[in-house]
Amino acid sequence: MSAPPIGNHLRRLRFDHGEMTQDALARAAGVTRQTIIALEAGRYAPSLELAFRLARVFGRRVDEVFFWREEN
Amino acid sequence: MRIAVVILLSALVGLLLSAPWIDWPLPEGLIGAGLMLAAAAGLRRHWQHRAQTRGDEPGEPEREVWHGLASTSLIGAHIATTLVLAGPGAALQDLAVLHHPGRTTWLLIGGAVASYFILHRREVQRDERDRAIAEQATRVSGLVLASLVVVLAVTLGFTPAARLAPMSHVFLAHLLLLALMLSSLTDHAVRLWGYRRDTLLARENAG
Repeated sequence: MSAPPIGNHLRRLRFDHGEMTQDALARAAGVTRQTIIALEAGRYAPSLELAFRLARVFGRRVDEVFFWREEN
Repeated sequence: MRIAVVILLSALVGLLLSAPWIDWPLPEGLIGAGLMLAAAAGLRRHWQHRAQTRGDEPGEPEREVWHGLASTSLIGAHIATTLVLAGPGAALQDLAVLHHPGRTTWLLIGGAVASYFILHRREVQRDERDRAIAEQATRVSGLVLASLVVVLAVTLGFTPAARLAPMSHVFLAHLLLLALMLSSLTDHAVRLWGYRRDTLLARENAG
């Protein structure tokens, strides 16, 4: 099964925000740490709601956190 | 690979517990339940260690599925072996053939329930990824169950009555139960495949 076409900058944003842990990000976004791991590994594409929640954690727009793989 | 190993090992234990040539020192059901509890305690310790050292321990939903996979394999293999040994004409009243294994089955179910609470953590969180993995598994297991029911229906429907006559209602009922358990096993395996796929790739990316 191929990887989802949506990439993200979650790992970089976490480190830019005081080296936030995956667990802390998971709690802030209301998901499990395993889902954050899967997102950062590019194995899972979030729902629109989760994408907005994650972007809000970092105070960014959704398109600043997520991108189409062809464009990057 | 790990999923197949767990299925085969658990099924082997279930088969051995039904084996009439083995003279167990204790009732088979107690031995099986004891093994489940010991495995659950060992796994819980192992996952706690992984959480502290590598941080890649499985989440609660995945732990539940591992437990379900092993329990279903063990109990399913026990029931299947009992049926084969009892033969199609097995009757509930036959104490040696069905009554005793029936008691074993209930003890194993008790062991499965108790071991679940050993593995179960209080904080249970299921998110959209867990639901997506579960949805895929439900689709596949539903297909498996439907296929098994169709095969059973066609086989029973087109088998001459004379050949069906030796089959007791107990035997047929357990066949249906096994079909359900096989579907459940498929559900667990597909869910774990979903979780494992993510974990393995995450490890590759980290390394």
